Amino acid sequence: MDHRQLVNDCLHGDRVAQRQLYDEFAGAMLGICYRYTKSMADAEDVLQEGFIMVYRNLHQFSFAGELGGWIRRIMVNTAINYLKKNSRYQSDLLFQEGGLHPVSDDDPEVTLSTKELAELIRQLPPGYQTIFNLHAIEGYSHVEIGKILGIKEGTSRSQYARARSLLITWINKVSPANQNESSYARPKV
Amino acid sequence: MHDPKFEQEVQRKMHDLEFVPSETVWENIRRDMAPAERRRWIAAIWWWLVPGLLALTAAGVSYWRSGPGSIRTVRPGAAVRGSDAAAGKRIGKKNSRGGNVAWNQGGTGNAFEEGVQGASGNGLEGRLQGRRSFAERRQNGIAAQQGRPGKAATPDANLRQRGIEQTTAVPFLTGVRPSAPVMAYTPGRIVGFGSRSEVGAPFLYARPGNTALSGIPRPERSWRFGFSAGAGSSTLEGVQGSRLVYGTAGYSYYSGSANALVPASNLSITAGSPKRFLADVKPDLSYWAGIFGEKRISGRWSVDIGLNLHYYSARLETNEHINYYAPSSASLFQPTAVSFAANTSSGYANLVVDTYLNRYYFLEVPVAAQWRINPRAHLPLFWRGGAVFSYLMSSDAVYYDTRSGNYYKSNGVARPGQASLQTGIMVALPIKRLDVRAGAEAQYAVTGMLRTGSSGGHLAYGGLRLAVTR
Repeated sequence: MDHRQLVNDCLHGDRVAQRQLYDEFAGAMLGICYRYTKSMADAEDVLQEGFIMVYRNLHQFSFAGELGGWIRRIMVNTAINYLKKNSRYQSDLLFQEGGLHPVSDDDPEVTLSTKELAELIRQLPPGYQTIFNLHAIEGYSHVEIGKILGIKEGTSRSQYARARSLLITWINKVSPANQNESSYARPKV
Repeated sequence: MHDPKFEQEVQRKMHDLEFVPSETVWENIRRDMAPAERRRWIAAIWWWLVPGLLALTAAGVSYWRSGPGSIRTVRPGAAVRGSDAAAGKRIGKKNSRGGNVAWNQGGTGNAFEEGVQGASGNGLEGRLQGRRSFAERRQNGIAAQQGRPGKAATPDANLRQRGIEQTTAVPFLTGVRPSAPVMAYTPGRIVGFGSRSEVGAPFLYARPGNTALSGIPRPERSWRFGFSAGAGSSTLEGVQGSRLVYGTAGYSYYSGSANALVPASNLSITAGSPKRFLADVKPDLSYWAGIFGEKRISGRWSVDIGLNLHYYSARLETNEHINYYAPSSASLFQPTAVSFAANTSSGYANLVVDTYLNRYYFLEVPVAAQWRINPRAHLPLFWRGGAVFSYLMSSDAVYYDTRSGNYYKSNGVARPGQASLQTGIMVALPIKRLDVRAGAEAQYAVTGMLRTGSSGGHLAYGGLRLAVTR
């Protein structure tokens, strides 16, 4: 698809083009939002706000990279801000140092399906979940994650190690994944 | 340090994670992007109605204030010199206002990095707290997503008039402030209406410090400017001149223009008494160049106005000299018996037909609308249609007087203001970083070339057009 023409048409208010842009990227972006949130409703909220930001800032896209990558960055940023502002997640994003979970160095082979793995990631505590998503999937360094979340690099590293270990433990146990709402229960600190 | 194989595997699997969002998500987004369409159309109509009325008024005043000119008869066949060219006046003045250039000071265009600034506490925090209803979100805006330091809210009068709420002050693209249309007029004359359309990446203007809109602001539809040019042929439609044929009685003549052997008796040519025949005006080269501004008014419609210099020409056949002749006894059925001999009588030139090239130099203001024919195709096609108001800056032309049978030149006989209709088809070419349109166009003057009478003809033009914006 000719994204340049599509973007130009969107900027000119072409409703058909705007819907085309949404249809092309909404599915994958909802998957990203789903990984960062605890429910499909929250994920759709993030998706909605993310696309609002996409259309609002579409004039800034200079075709230096892929349109999908640009939209993805906006969606991740929207998800993180949503988590920060949403009272349901705020207290779990404290990123406090502390040995909440044991650390494992196992590297198991991931035999789970995509959605099963996504459900396990969503089972993580919100702080772990966010850092794991940013580092393992989005590819941000711990320095960048520290800037994004307002934490130290060392905190990001330790939190990620614990998240990784916890996830691996669950993978090894082949934990059952919830289909919709997450069954995550906040750990007692 | 962990083995990256696990992360790579997780990445690979998560890359395929997709869901189908509910339709309410798009409906909510669409609702935010759909302010009052009707108010916009009404505003657009009023936006063009006032300048249109001014242009028509100026054209009417120009027409009624035009006075008679002098007439100088030119003997057919004599060398015609250039007449005194009428001094051209620069038409009108442009009055355009555009917004300030895009605002993203220091930004990289990377929304995530801007969000990084916000996340670190340096920027303006957003107001979204908890799960709010969609209406609440519209109230509060999403200003903090950008994380930039905000300015005090500066109410935008236009936005208020449209009933859009203003919330947090956010220094990024917000208020839409369309610029005034480009107008060109000449006091006492007129005036072009012209059309020029171009395709280009839109420039989005914003005023720094505008208040954030709640929801998605309508995309900026500011004026875009560029250059255009074209070439083709032009003629004077509805005009006939006369052609004097010189020859010698008693012979058959080979007429170069007719490409045939013409008996003298048919031509009724006698020595020293040329025969007059009707002659049509032939098309000749025409070309133009200029600048224009375009504004999108909807997804498929746009309007444009420009300023061009346009050269027209048309060729008149004034005389014909028959160069070759054969004895009258020669028969057309025995061509081998026909012998041709060059006519060496004095006064005969080698030219078969004497012609005169009428030249016209116009300053034009085209105004047109453009409609995209195929909205979803990769190679956009556009139809253009509009009007061109022209002012005759100078000319070097002869006109035929049917009563006296003479060609003449006159500075004041031509109508200085012309109005034409224009139409064409254009295609947007897939060229990177430039918006280029090319196509064909045709133009026909609804006003006659002469101030009085109909012998002046109507200027007609057809050719190719090229328009470029960045």
